[in-house]
Amino acid sequence: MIPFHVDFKPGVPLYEQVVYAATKSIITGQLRPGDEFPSVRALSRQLKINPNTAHKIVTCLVDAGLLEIRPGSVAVVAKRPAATKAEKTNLLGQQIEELVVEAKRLGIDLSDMQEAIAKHWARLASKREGKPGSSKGGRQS
Amino acid sequence: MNQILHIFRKDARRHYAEILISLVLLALFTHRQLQFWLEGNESVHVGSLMFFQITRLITPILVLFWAFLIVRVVQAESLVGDRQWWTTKPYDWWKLLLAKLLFIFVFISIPLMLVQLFLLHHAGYSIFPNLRGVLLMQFTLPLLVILFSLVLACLTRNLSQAMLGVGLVLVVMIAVSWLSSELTRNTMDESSKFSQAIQGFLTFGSVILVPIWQFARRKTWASRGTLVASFGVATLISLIPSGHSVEQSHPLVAAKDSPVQFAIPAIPEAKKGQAVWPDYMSTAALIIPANVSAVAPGTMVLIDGINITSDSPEDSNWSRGWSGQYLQVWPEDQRKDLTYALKRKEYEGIKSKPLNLHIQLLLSEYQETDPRTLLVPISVFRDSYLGICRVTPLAPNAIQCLKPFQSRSYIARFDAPNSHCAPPKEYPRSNLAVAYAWQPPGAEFLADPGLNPMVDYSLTFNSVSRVSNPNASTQPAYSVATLCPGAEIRLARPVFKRQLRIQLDLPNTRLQDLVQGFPGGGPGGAVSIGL
Amino acid sequence: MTAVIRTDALTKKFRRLTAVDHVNLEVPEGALYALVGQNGAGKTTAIKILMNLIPATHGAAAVLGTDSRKIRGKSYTQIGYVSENQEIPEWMKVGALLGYLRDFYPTWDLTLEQSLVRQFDLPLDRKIRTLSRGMKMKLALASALAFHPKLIVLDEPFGGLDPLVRDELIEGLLERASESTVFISSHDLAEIESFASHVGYLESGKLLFSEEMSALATRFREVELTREFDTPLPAPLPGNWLQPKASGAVVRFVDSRFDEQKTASDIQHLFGNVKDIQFRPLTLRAIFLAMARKSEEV
Repeated sequence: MIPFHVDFKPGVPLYEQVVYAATKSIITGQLRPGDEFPSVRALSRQLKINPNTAHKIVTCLVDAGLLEIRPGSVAVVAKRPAATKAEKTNLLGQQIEELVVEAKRLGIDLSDMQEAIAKHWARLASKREGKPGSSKGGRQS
Repeated sequence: MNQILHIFRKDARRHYAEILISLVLLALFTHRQLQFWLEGNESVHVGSLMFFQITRLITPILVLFWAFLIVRVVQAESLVGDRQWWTTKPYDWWKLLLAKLLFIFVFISIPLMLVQLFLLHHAGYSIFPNLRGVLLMQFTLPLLVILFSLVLACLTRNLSQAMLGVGLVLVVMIAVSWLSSELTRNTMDESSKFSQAIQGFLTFGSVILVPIWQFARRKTWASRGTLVASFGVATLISLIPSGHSVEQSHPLVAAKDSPVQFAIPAIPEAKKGQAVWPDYMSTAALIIPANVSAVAPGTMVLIDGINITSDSPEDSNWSRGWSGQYLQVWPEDQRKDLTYALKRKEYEGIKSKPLNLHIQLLLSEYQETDPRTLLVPISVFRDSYLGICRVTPLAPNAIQCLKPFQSRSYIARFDAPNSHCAPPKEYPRSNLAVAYAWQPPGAEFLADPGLNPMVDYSLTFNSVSRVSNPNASTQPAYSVATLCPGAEIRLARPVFKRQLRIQLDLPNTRLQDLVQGFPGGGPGGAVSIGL
Repeated sequence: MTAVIRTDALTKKFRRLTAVDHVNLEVPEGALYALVGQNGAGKTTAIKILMNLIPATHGAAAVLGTDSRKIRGKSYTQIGYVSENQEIPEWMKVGALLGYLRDFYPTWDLTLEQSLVRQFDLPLDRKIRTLSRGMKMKLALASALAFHPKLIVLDEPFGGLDPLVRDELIEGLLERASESTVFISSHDLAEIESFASHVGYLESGKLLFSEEMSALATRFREVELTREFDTPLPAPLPGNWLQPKASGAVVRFVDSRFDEQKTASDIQHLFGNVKDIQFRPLTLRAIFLAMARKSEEV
């Protein structure tokens, strides 16, 4: 089983999407340092992608310092310092851009947008308080 | 109603090529029938004779093609399977059936009837009085072909399955006939009217009802099973010997009351060193020579059947019971050879033992009515009773006749010695004998159950038998019968008078004395034994 | 509202094989019902029984209010049936076939026929035997739609057809679907997912579920948990959790009876506090795969 979820969207190169999903998964802590990362073969088989693409993905993640190759060609999640604020917000870059575009189309200005974000933030936070340690994601985005 | 015509039109369009071929074949058939000797007495050369023989095949080819056409048309909406396109369209089953029947009627029955009327007309028989006869003719061979093809077509999926079905039917028929010949001892067993009715009901009923049911419900295996079962039961019934014995229908009559007197001459002992029969001959044929006499003029006696037994029942195990014998005894006949066949095995077991044989004969007596004299003309002539007739030099012992629908029963007598007709070259006139031709009443239709409305039959004259020495058991002699223009024939209608049974005794005889050696050879010799 | 199709413990046995096993389904009027299942699941057999092409062994079915065993002749004036199994008369020309069928249906609409011919671009003068597979299906569909049937039954209509033809068929079907009920069997889920209103899933002759599409979408969720530690999975897990798998701290499964409260509380019970839970809806294809794999495991 692939320990992270990939939402395949048309129009974006496949490997980029997988890299993105893996990165997010590592940064959120879903994949902990030392956890075994799926092999190139496993990635290819279970995500139904080209083995060359799978290889490219692993290489990319290793280059980014997210994965380490242990002896025996096993890839594991690298031990690294906690993600910085910048790194985290960068991950959401795409979504934020989409949000900004939509807001502009609807004619919402920055301050109204911030107000709306704050409102939704508060609502979810209160729900979280009722059930500690759980969150409900809607559609993966 | 509309749907019926709609389907019919579609079928006509689809099968127009096959329809055309069938009409061409029908035309060829008609042409051939026209070429019949009705055209007069032209000389016949080998070439056209050969052509005539080859085109004999046109009738079976035509019939087979009709069967093929019917199968094709009915299978255009095949009734077998669950993948046909038409089964989920709003077809009413009875309209589909009627559409197919309409097709058959329009493209097979009607052309045939028109051709038959044409042939009748060509022979000089007017149409309207014979219309009924033509319509009735459709219920013989045409109906058989149509029903058979219809059953075949609606129980098989496509043409190849249909051919497989035909093959299967043939194999089964051969098997059944072999089986019945092995099982039945008594070849003269008559089924009672009741069992014949049941058989007819089963076969004919199933052949009509099964297609209708198949069209309505399309339960193929149930339909096939019903058909096979009906025919199977009918066959079983036919194989079961009925209690109806010939003895009951033919009362035993004392010798003095018999319409014919028999006297068996002395049977000589078989010569030693007679040729031995080869092993493959599985039946032994006994030949009993009998002098015949006392048949009244104007009558004839038919020997229908024969049964030979010996004194004690255990000794009669070799006997096969009643078997058919088709011998005509005319007033001028002198000798008839009775034949009786038994199994070789049983013959070998008992051939040298002297037995007291009892020979029973089934006789039918016929009488002439309405006799008249017929003078044979030179060319083709019309006789109100016989039809259109002629005598041709190719078959001078027969009067060939053509008549609509049915042939005629007749007793005809030709006094060859006293006629002016010349026998063939170098044949001594002193050898000529009276000759008779006959066809019993009730056999009229059997002449030619085919498609031609004009039935072709012949009055074939055969001379009576003569023996030079009644006391010897030599074979009788026959002469030729040569008709010529101006010959006088006494023609009459035969009427059945009575049927009876008589018994002849032949004491102290060995079966081996009654057989003919193989090849040739025969009994001949001295001791006199009488009735 | 009477169901257009209703079956009652419908069963069909062929010697030792039970092709259709006590199927109870109901197709409401106006529905676009998709019967899905693997090859050999029994879909075509079930449809053949409904169309009275083969008899059932046990049970009963009613189509348009009539016992399916009594469907013949006139009943078909209200049913349009299209199947890749049927042998269309190859010798006829396209136009001739349509003309031939016209007289069989009192409700045949000539204008509709002509517009279908235009829409599907059917060559009226060509013999059917020269048509491609896609063309034949389009013709079959046209001839099944032109008489405004109350029920349209399609048996695997998309098999082996390219996307363009499939699209044409679907368009043609949907345009007239509003006045009919449609019953379609397929294993092409992507296509029917977009328009089916009801789904029935047939597996080895058994109907595992039959419900409205919306209900289906609501009750299936992919669940992804991230735990604190990678302990082995607790057992037993609820039966409606399909193919549960773990990799490291991440656990994933398909909940076939998803309920906001219950699923969350089950998770709480079995896993205690978890770092993260995500619920994602599934495509019809993913649901189908999950159900198919489940029965493989059994």
